[in-house]
Amino acid sequence: MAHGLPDYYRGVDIAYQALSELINRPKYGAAQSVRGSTACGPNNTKTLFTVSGKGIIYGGVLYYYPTSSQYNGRFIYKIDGQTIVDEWAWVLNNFGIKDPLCHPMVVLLFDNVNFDYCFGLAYGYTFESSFSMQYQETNGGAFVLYHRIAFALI
Amino acid sequence: MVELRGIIQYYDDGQKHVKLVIRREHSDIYETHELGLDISVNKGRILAELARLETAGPVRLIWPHHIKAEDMEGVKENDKDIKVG
Repeated sequence: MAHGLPDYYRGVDIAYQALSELINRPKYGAAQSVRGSTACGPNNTKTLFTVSGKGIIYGGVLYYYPTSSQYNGRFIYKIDGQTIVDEWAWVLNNFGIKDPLCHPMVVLLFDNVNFDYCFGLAYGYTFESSFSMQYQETNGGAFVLYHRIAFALI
Repeated sequence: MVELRGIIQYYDDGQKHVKLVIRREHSDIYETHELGLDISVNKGRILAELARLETAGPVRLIWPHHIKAEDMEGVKENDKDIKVG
């Protein structure tokens, strides 16, 4: 103890102790990941993943390479039970929604000739109770959608 | 003491994965445990797993209010009658 007393006479007291330096930082939590693949059937809505807890989203990607167009695929991204993205894939592409500072979900690859698609989740969104992602297939196709999500739970 | 910090559910290779993230007393190290494959999530099942993970002394579990034991596909018919005491 800085004042010469044994520690058991006094607990931690920032005002009392002559600390030369105090390091203060937020508690970020422990890193976690979801690395999965979901079979999406014709005209079905599938939940890709759900996370219950508090934390922060580091980022993520969702990619798929069906044998036919998924131009009209629809993403439903919820944080704390609130829908923050409910958008068709073509909208993200046609309007150039590529900047993660402007939108929670962005298009990274939209190849409607070879049917390769990739979408990204923006960094830094915090959640107090949950977040989840759903995909609605509306083109009558069946394929596997892969997702790689990184986040922290506090 | 075992404190639940999160429930993670997702599909991979056609199987549903359920993971629990926990913290133990006086520890900032978080542990991730696989609850099982292709099982539905409900509070009773998670409490049983948390109790199993408590290895020291009497069982003391902390379940924060913000964490909900909801299955990613909604409530299954077989789980509706499970009572949590």
